[in-house]
Amino acid sequence: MPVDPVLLLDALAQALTLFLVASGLAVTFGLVGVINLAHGELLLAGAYTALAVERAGLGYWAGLALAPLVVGLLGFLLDLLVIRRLRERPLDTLLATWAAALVVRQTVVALFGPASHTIQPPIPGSVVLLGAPYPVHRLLVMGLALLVAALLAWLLFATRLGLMIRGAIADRTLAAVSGLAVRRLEALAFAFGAGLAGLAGAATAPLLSVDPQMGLGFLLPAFLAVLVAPGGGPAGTAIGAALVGGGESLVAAFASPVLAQLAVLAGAVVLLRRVAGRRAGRER
Amino acid sequence: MLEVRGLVAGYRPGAPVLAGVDLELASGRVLAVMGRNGAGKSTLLKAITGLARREAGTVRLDGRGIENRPTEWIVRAGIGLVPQGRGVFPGLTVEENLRLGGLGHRRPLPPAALYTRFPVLAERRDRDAASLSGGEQRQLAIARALAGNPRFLLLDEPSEGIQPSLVEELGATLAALVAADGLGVLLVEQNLDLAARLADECLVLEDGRVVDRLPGPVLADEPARIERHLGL
Ligand SMILES: Nc1ncnc2c1ncn2[C@@H]1O[C@H](COP(=O)(O)OP(=O)(O)OP(=O)(O)O)[C@@H](O)[C@H]1O
Ligand SMILES: [Mg+2]
Repeated sequence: MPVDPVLLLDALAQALTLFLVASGLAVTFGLVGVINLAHGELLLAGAYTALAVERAGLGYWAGLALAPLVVGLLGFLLDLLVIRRLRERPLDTLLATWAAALVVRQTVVALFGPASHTIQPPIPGSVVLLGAPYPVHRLLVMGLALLVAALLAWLLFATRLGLMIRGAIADRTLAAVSGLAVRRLEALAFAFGAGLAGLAGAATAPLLSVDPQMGLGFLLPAFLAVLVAPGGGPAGTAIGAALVGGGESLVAAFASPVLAQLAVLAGAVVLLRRVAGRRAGRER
Repeated sequence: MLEVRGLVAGYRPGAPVLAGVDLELASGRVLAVMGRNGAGKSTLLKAITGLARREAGTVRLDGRGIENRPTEWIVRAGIGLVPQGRGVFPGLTVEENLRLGGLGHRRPLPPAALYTRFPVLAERRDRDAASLSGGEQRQLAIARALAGNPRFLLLDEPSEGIQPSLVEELGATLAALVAADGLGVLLVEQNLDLAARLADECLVLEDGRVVDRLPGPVLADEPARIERHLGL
């Protein structure tokens, strides 16, 4: 069977988009160790920030720039008011972040209504790529994902802050014993991860219908990508995103969407095992 | 001077492990803490560094109360801790471990200065810390704590699980640090030889209380007096 190059491009786009969504999660889950069920809603908040800014007449780019800041602040507050108070209580954290997700979703409904909205891509239209027209904005999102990957790699592996973050991920207590203010580091990482989610939301908004449910669909694949990722760094997350995002879109194309969903479900089982394993590892 | 007075601490409220411990440690001195498994030795080091729940008592560094400070503050103030077990950051290289040990500190020791004390670490500088042998990891753990240039070092069973020749070497390294840099060491140790070699004084802990205080030379000259406490 000849492989359609556009199909591969689609798979790549899917993988990179998922990477963008999962990178923030990799930061918050990797460092803070929190299963944040509101991550999808942080994405949602990013998309609606872009929507609000556009409605205010400031255009798409301003929204894309503001979304990570607005959502980063939201993440900071979420950590300060909820997550940090529930440390070492994973079940309560699950419930609380789920509740936070509901609050965000209902706030969005209250402010923007339950209906779906569209955001026009800043550069509309397509370019011909591999012999077929391909939407420009998809390419933009792919480029942004690559940029974020490079930024994350630089931040983690070439800066002092990155060394501190990797240290706190490797051993939280030992990091404190080394003189690092672990809590502050975690708050920063959480806000940063949330900001990435906001960026992802604003970036992908023109590709999707912006509605209060849009965060839900991303949550499971993003968690899967983070959990199947070999190692915690951006490279691992990229591989995880490629496996989950690319895999799902290829399986959907060659076999059927149902099979693809099943594959995701099978992945979810792996996910639960790894969560249990990591938790055991953390507590030693 | 590090002074601990009436320290009551543990892990759960109302169930303290330490039942009122007093000790003082001066610069350039080694105070050994001995006692059976579960006596509360590690808890004592954790309580001093803010890692255990303190219920009562004070910890003073040069006369200044530090007992309510968070761990990172205490460590930055000059109290290094080498926890029991391996005590290194897995997944980070040897050199990254050492840099991280110094990051939060005002006058950190650069890795190069630490390599002269622990030459084997220089050879392994780019290796993942988790890939080192047990003995090498122990040296890295100590070097990591020294990277912050502490004035007092709390060492939790540095000889545990490493071969006798390395214990010997470790003893020499620690003795040199105390003599040259005036480091004060609180040494939790089950190895009587190592404790006897280094300690100026020895506290015996039992059920979270100090039940005996012996001058250092006693450990070497009359080991029976300490062995009785340890159930040897
Ligand atoms: N993290 C913890 N949570 C709850 N209880 C603990 C914890 N760590 C130690 N304990 C309890 O505190 C008591 C003293 O433990 P500690 O580790 O201080 O003993 P130790 O003298 O260091 O023993 P060892 O020689 O085996 O290292 C023990 O009863 C132990 O079960
Ligand atoms: Mg112990």
